[in-house]
Amino acid sequence: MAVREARTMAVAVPTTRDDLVVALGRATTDTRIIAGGTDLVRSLRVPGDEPDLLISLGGLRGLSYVRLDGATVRVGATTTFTELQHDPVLREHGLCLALAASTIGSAQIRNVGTVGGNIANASPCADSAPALVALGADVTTVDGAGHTATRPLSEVVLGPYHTSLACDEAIVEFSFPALGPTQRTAFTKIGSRTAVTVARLTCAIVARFDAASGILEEVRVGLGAVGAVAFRVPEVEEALRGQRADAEAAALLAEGCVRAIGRSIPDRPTLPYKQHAAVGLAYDTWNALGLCPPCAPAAHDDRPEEVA
Amino acid sequence: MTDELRVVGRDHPIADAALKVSGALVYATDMRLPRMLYAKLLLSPIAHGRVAHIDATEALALPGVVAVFSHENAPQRLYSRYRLLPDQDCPEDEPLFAETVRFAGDRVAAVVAEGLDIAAAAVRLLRVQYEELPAVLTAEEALREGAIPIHPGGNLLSEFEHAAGERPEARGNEVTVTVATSLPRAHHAALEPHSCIADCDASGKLTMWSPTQSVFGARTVVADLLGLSYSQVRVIKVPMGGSFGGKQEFTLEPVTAFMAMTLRRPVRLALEREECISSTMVRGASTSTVRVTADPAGVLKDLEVDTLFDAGAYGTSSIDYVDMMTKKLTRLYRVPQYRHHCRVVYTTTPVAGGCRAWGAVDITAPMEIAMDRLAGRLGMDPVELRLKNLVEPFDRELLTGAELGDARIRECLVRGAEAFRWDERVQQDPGRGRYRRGVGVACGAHKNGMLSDTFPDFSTMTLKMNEDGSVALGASLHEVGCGAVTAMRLIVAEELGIEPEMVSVTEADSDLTPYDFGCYGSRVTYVCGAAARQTAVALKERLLEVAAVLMGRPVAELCFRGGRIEAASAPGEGLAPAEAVMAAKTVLHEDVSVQSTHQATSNPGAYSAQFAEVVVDTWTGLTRVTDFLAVGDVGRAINRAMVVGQYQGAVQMGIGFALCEEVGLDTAGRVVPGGFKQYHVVNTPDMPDVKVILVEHDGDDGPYGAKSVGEISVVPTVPAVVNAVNRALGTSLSDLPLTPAKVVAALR
Repeated sequence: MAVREARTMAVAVPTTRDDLVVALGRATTDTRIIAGGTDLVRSLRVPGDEPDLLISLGGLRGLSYVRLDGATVRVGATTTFTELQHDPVLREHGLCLALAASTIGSAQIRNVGTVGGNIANASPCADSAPALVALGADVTTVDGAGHTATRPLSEVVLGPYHTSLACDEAIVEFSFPALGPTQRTAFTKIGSRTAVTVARLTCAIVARFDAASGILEEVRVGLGAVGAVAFRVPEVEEALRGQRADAEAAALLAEGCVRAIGRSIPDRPTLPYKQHAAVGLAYDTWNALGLCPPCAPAAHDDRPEEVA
Repeated sequence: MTDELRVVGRDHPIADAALKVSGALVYATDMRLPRMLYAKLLLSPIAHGRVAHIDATEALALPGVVAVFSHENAPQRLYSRYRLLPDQDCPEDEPLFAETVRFAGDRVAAVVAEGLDIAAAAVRLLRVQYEELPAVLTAEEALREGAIPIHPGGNLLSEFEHAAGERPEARGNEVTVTVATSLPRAHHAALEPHSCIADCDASGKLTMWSPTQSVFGARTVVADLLGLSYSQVRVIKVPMGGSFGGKQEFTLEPVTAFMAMTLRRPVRLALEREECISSTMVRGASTSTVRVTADPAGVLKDLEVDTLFDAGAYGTSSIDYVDMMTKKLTRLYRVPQYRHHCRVVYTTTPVAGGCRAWGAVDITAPMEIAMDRLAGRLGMDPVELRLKNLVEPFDRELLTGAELGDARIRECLVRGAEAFRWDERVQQDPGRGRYRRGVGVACGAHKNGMLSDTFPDFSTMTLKMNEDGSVALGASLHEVGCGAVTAMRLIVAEELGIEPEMVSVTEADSDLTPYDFGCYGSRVTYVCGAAARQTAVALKERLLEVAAVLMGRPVAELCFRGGRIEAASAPGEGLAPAEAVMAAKTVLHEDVSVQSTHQATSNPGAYSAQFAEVVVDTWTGLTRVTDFLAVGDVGRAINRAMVVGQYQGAVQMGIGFALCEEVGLDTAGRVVPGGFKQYHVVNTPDMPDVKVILVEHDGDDGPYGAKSVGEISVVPTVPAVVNAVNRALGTSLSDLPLTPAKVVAALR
């Protein structure tokens, strides 16, 4: 009885890279690429936004991997968050991404959600984004003509739910310099609850540290959920370079994050909260690096309201 | 008494547990009737305006679309979705489809189609022009001079004051605190969104399948609206995935019934989560200002409350709901004078309706937050202050003079304080570090059924014994997930001396099962449970009557012994009940079945004292409840594991109300989209291990002494958590929920 003319949608499930290129060759601006589907499936239920063609990456087993290629870590686009969370190579050479993956959604979401989808969806709150930013990740794509291209993440994610990806272009890999024994990394997140929560603020740090001198040689800081896209904070990175890894460095990190957030979302009503919370988050991230004994922000000047 | 109980008071799985966990339970949205159509609503995208024009041309042209309904082709009669009894006083202000939309989420139109995807696509093809009117988003705004009237009678839906007692002469050394506490709109968050199926056959008989809390109420509203006799409308309660009061009123039934009756085909209407949040009902937003006065020893002298309640776009139950807010505090505390002024106000926001504990949560939070403030002013321990003022067993409460029965709130508080080690933990210094720890306590009172000086309560049930000695209880139960069906089973099994598996229990079907108001109002265990027990007693009497005839002995000589009917004078001689039932059929040509009506004669207090420990991160503003103890005066636990589970679930809901749950509106009055991604309840990783202590005793009229659990369990949770946060931080937060942003703002 049911009449189905209200919606027609083709689905392509390529199983090889060549098939993927063929499928991408058919793509239009109404085409959507689906990986884990944790964001897309929900939007597919909204009538009127049906894609003409849905290209599933689910058949491409070869796109799910984490491997060390010389001094480079390569992460396949359809690697799930659960896989990232537990991958021994990633935990050794890019821990902040594994930690970011572990905070995403619920176990069910992490079992199907992918890092490629997280970036291609381009939510300002994407948990993997600040980690990839701090790791200095590049994005490799393939398009309908079979061309492969690699560019920095910052050139892919341009704004909220907005990327430079062409309609016939799919992310196939992320790559970043493998972290070595002199580098430490951490990722922390504030949501509105402990788990299964959208990020309100995320912070990833990668730090190269000279154990002998106790000096920070190079620091990269990525902030997420406090602007259109996840971003690096060069000002903090500059300030921390050459600093001793101690409580003063933690304070510099916190101050720098607060200022960066002020610049990023000056008119947002959530600014006062996020700036305040950023202090706590920065200290949590710093302490997670384990470079010095845990330090705490100086107690802020809380003045309890007069009891009525 | 407990020693003699065989079944009652132990742990039993709920009746439909296996069906639920295996996915076999058939909910309304799992049903497929032959020729069934699918409806989809067009909800207003604006908070206030006139529907100037609806162009359905494109929608109707879509293959598979059967009909489009709007105010242009639907009855204009206004109704109340809340009505239970035909002569009940409730505001009739809601149309099936709005010509003037009064909130973002109001029903503008509906498309009915052969498939759900077609209906959904067609709704997007409806072209509607609105003439916008000013939105009125808060109760304060609605009452302002010159505010646009949302309904013809103006924006003040109701204003009333209840007062009793006299304030003792002032000695000049009294201490008064005044605290205003605000509760936001909240979503009931039942896992099953609202759904309903209606069918109208060729004879004009309308049948509805609905996960409702009251089939007879649904029947009243639908029949009155559509001009049908009550015999032409049959409402069948189907499995329900939770309600918390959100399915007490009849949100989808009227419109679904109208469409099915018009089209003479089955019509299914089911909402998505976001529609459910914005368009059905919310717990209304309210602000209550408590002014409480005590002498230097902490003895209350006066209690004055002012409540401003945002009813949203339609009146529904809001007047009664707010009236209920005035019936709680004098059940909890002895106070010489109580005065409560209330205003119930229309706004162009989502419709307020019944929500778990009906006003008790909304008024207990302001009161108990104020009590902690008072304790602070008096330099007194919060537990000590409460013990100076809590009611005693068999008190009469001030406002209505109602007897409170064996009210054990003092025992709850004392036992809880000891188990929680309150005296020790309250002394702990929260410190000046990043993480501050604090404990909080609160008490709450609720009721047992709907009996009052203005409203009756009773329940009717039937019970028949089968030829094998098993029994079938015919009752208009509405299982909402709390285990009511199982509780009835246990009560009947206990009374008859048989196993629970030998008892079948019906849910409500307005054509088939006896009259009952419905499952709400904390009446099911206390009133329906008593009815079940009374009906079982009546069946035993009937069995003795039958056995007397069969055995040729006077009834007075017979009794039940060891599961058999025997004559006192002739042990060993007698009949098993099953034998009596068989012989009744074959020898006497009679059935062994009874009907009995239990009339409630009391409505004692239900009580709980709760203790929370929280840790607040002063930088992120996140609050974590790290320990929780709930003590409940339950009279008697019928199904112990379920009672403990009820308390634990209630605490989870209450923590959410305290810390994060809020249906947010944007500046245009639209609900912030996102469903459960946006509307956060407290989930398992953030839940403490909730410990539960049950205070059990005889002395009240419920079955085996049982009192209500489902609502009282959530009543003190919010203030227990808020008081703990305020103790940890040295703040006086009372604008709920205590979001990280509010916590941080209070510290800055």
